[in-house]
Amino acid sequence: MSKVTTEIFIILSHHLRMVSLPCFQSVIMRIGVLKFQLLLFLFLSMWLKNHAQTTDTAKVVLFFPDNLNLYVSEKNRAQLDQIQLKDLLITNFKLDWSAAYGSAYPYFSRKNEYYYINLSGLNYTPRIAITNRVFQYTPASEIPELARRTSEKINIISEKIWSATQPKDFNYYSVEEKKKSPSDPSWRTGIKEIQIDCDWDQHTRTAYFQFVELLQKYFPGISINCTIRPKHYVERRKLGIPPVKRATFLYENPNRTVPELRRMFKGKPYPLPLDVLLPLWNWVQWFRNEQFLGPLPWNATSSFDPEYGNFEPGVNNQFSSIDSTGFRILRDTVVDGHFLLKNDRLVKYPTDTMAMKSFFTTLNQKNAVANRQVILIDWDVKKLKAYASFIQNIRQMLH
Amino acid sequence: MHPLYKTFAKCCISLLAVVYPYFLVNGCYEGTEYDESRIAWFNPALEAATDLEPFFYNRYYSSYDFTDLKELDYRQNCQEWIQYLGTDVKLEDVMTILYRTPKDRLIDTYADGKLGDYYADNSFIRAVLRPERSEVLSYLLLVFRAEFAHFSAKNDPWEIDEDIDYRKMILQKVVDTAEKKINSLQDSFLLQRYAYQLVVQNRYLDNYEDCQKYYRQFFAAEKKSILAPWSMIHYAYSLEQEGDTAQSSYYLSRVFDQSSSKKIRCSRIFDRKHLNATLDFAKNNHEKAVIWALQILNNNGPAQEGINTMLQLDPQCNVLLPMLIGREVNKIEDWILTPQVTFFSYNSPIFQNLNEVNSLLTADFAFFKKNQTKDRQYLRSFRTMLEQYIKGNSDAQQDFLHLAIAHLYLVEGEQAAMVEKNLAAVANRSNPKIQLQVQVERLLNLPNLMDLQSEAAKTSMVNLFSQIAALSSNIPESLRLYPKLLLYFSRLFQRKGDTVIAGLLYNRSIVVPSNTYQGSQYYLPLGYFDRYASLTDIDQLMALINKKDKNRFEMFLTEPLNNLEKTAFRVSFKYPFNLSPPAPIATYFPKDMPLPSINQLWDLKGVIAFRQNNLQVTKDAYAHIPEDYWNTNYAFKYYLRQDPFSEANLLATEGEIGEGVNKTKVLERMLAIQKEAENPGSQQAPALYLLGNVYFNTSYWGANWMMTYYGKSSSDLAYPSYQQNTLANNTESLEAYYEMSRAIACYKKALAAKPDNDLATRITYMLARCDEMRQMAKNERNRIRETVPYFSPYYQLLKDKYSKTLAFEEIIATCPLLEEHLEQGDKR
Repeated sequence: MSKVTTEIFIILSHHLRMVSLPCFQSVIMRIGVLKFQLLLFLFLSMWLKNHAQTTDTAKVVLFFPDNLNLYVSEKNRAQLDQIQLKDLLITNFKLDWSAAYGSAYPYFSRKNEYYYINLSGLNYTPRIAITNRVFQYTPASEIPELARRTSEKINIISEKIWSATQPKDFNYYSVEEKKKSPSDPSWRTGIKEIQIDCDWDQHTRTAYFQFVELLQKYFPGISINCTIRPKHYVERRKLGIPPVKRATFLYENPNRTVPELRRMFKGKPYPLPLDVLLPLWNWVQWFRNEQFLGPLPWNATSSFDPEYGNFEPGVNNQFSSIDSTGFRILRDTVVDGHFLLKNDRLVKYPTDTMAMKSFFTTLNQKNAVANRQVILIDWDVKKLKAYASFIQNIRQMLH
Repeated sequence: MHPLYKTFAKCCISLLAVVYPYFLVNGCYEGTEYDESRIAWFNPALEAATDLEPFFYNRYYSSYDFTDLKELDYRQNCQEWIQYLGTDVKLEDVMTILYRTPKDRLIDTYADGKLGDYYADNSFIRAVLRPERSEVLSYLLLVFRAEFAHFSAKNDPWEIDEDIDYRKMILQKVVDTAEKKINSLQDSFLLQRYAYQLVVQNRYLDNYEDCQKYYRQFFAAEKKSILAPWSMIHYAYSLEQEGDTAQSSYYLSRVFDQSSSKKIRCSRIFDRKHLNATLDFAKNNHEKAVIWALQILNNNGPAQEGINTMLQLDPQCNVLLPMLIGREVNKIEDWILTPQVTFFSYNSPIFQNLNEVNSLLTADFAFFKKNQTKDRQYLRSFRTMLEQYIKGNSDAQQDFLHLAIAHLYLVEGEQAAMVEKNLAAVANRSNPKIQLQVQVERLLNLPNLMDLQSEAAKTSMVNLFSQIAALSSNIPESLRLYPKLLLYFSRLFQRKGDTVIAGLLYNRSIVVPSNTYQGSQYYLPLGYFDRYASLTDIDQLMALINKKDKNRFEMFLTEPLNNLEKTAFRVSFKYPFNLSPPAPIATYFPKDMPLPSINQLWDLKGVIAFRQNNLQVTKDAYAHIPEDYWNTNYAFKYYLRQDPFSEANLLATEGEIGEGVNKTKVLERMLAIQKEAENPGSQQAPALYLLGNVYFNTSYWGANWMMTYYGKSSSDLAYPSYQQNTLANNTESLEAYYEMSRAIACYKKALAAKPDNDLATRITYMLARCDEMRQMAKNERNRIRETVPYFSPYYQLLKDKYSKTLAFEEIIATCPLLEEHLEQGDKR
């Protein structure tokens, strides 16, 4: 029987360097640290137990989303090493459509090598996020150019990050390295996958899928992994299956009830092997007139959070005000490419671990997959120490 | 000389020129920003038009790019839109969209089809979204893209291709579209707007010919629209690019005259080298006067020639002339008064040395006298010009000019009658700005009219200060008029020797930088009195503080600081757009400011008496202070850290104040020992030795230096600046502190009083140390570097006569390096 690898991706938000995590804290406060760890441990143990016979190694991957510079302090690096965290999933850049430029453009991108600190010896997977608007507005004739630019951008940024993950005596500018062909940059030698995140719809599927196919051609030997959301899973006939070999299930709302889950997973399994990305703690739900518009990454909205920084209603922050469940936008603004309107409501949600367990059970019933990667979003590196034994336990379970 | 050497020599000289001043600046340097230290008692906003504020004599505006602070042009542009779209469109809504919203946001929102939703409350957006206004919306979207290209866009947002220039691509699209539109549109408003885009964007695309072509075609004859001066500046720029500087300068002067938002830009790029050629383009005297105004703006030197020419050319140039005249008055008062009042000049301290600084009060040194003579000559010349002008022009701004002339008489000094005469001629007393200026002139004239120390003068002072405080919102806050006047009156009382009043007025003006060490919260209310007060002054000050039925003047002196006295505004103008207004700089003064506490004053009295070696007075003063005072206040416990009667220990570690280091107890013991030291006998030598130790330990070199001063700097020795601390004290106390004269005298007397050999050893050792340190102090002060280090003859004596004593062994054991030092002495 072939060996199966289960990878656990732990996604760190920009809270890497922050101490407090409001949502996280609220969960912990409610159920207590030990109980919380125990619950998480139990549910993952149960889930992993079912697959233990197909598992032999475990990897923990750190995800650096945007707004978080790649600076890992000596102390944090020591913590990572101690619990043998070796893999990075890093947002390289994010694309949006700009009507002003009349083209897609990277509204976020990593640039400064100076911040790529203490990454030596870690493995690295690039991630690119693209808004649906890019494919909504980019003319079909310009999709090839978009793919070319995207590939160049990936090369430029990945080369820098990859070189930062090399041993400390590695000389990026050495003559030997320069000799290598620009079309086959060094960084590709250690990379297996590139993750592309896009919330495409039925109108943009053609353009998006064309883009993904064209992009794949620029990266022979590296597989493109597309994120899919529940709607892509459920409405696959309408929204299509991305032309890739593997996808990552981006589970926006882990608090769904069992009947909801069953409804979601009814029918045939998804035709692609699915990894899972779970926004566990530090995301917010976005409501307008009590209608759920989707999740927003916490790192983009935390500046509105009264529990962070120097927030004082009406003094330091003109955008939001406190209410019991979250906060309300006081003035129209743009967050992470989303247009937030006055009176929109952002609600922080703690994840119900039991609901998560149900999710995995249901998912596995339909989509049992080898090599599944489980990505837990927003885990503060400062909490690594507290979770060291937890991770160790998982490893023991896996081996 | 070989060129290489020449270059090398040039480099060295340039480097020296840059670096040498650094070496000259010693100790703590205090510089100021903007108008903090500048005297500006003539209100620059007295008569000037609101959009001329950037041209006041003011460092802030010369350094920063602010345009159209009052948004006059922007509002006019918005009004033109309202006239076109209809009066149901609100001005503020147009302002919001055109000037307060990022353009890429508007474009993106429109592209998403959400413009109407997001700006549902905006009457301007509602108006342009009507179907019949599709052409208007197209124009706006085009302009938004152009603005985005100018202010926000990157050449290549992907940062992967150096050759690509998105900005130029966007601008080219704007030009292409506009060219089509001007050939097809019938709507004259939109036509003109598109033409404006052609002028502007062609200029930025370096198509100067097209820029000029469209300007001439559409705007050369335009009189009403704000687009006329706005397009003219681009026309002027394109002329400049083609080498026609004089004509370009002429058009810049026309833009300067017609537009608020472009004034600063025009004044910056106006070429002053081609005055005559530029004047040749002027069509009338007014245009010539404006060219002259640009010629003299940004010139911080004398500008009388230009103003005089303007008066001849266009005496009715009512907008620019008052600003330029006020600016000139501000210059003159800055040159003459600032150094004498705040001890600064051009935001830099004139001197570090307090003796020299205080000589400013009497202006008693050569270069200052020379400058003052020159400045006063200029003052008289300028004033005469104004007097002639006011005679010949009855409809000129009479009140403004009379006040300017009165102010110049005041700055000149000893012209009380002329000041009064001009003040009497001021007619419109209801204008609060004029009222304020009149009261300021009256206050400044007070010392010329009566003895400041008289009760009548003091009462008038209180009244005038109170009226000025009430009106002070009529002058830019950043000028700190009120506290600077207080500082000036402090200087006047200081000249009269009234230290108590001078000190309290000084403390009330503490927000004005005055080139004096201010120190910590503890020292802040005490500093002035530490520097200038006598023992009697301290007694008088305590009596005043304790007085129950204070009169109005005494209340005025001693009441807590008011807002004008404790708030340090740096800039006062209205910030453009919706940026946060400048917050007052946080100032943290002791709660009793301007008054020191009574305990502080008893301590200061003791310190001053101690410096004077008046031990009984010192002890009596300290007797009023609670026992634990020095352990709980200021930094006393760190610098009174050793038994002052013990042998000098230069390496004493910091720590809590020890038993017996209480100042009162030290003084009690000193007095007792002093009696023993006065009478011959066996007790005399030991007593003198102990006294010598106290004087040593309380000197600059000792661990208990805070018995004598409140502050100490490592640069004290190297530079005479340490006298900052000590003006009121005589040379004798300075020598006692820095050169240990009292300690040495005691040790010498002790040695002469026939001590036993052990004591004689210790005394000789201390004498040797004091001697070498004093030599070091002298060398530092005179900047002498000895090739062979000084070796004290007392060390030779110690070695020759006392090297066999037990005390010598103890000393060597305590200081192992001494043996080596003595051996080196032998080699010399």
